[in-house]
Amino acid sequence: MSNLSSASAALLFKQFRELTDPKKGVPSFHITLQNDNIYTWNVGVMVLNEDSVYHGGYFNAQMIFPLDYPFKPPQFRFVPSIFHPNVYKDGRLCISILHTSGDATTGEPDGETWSPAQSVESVLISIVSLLEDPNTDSPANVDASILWRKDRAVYNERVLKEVEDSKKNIPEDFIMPTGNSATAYVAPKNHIKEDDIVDEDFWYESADSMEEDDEEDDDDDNLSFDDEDDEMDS
Amino acid sequence: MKVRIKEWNAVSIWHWNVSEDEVCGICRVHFDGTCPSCKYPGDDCPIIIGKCNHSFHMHCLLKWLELETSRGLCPMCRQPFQTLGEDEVITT
Repeated sequence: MSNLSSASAALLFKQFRELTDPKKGVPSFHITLQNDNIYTWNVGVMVLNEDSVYHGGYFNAQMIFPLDYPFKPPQFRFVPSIFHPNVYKDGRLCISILHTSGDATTGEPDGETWSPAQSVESVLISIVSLLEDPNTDSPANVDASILWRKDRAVYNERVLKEVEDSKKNIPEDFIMPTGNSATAYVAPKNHIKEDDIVDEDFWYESADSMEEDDEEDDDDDNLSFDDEDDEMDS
Repeated sequence: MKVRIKEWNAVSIWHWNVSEDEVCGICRVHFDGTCPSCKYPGDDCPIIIGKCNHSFHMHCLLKWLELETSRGLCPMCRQPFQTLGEDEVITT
């Protein structure tokens, strides 16, 4: 592996770890690797703002990174494409942050184009903001752009249908995050009421149960297998 | 009490004169570490500080500035990148 590609892989691994860490990641994105390839990311894009017409949708996208990342921008594509003023029929996006400077055909100011100081997170945040706030100056889908400007109700209806369709993309084991990011990737808590627990007191590290179950003291390893129980006891 | 020193070893540490938690804006590695292409930190893999006050591993920044698409701009603030004079880069 050349220096350049091992450098890009290391940087991508770092950003992948951060973005998939429940504490550091952004709950709007659910990221997995395609065939364990660090250069191909599958991203589920979600809009958490409950007032948004895109809320509740899970839009599949793929990001492909060049070997010389971060010196060149990644490619981004919605799979399948979505109905949006800045999304082409093939799912690609018209967004300046993914373009390199000096492209005369786009005429984008240098300040808005790709720079190696951008991160995957900053790109994804730009994209999710674009969903709700289309840039109709440079439409990729003219029909969508006109509809967005002229007949928002019909536009929203069309989006709502896509949002409904996109729900089939939600991975089975995935819990859709709510507006409260703190709960985004945390498995649902076990809501067993204390009354419902019959003979399992010895699992819990409380003073009471220790007294009742002296003979179980040797089973310390098995105590506190559930975080919630620790909280209840402390 | 008298103490006779028979032997002594001097130990020193160094770090670049930037705040410790600062990372290179391109490779996101601490400045006291190297750019991804180098093995040994220090003079072999120096940092470069621009007049705009943004700093990078020199090797990272040069790779960017070599590209036409960089247009010679600082990755952070997109102003034309100009280096601080060499005597302004202080190592301690």
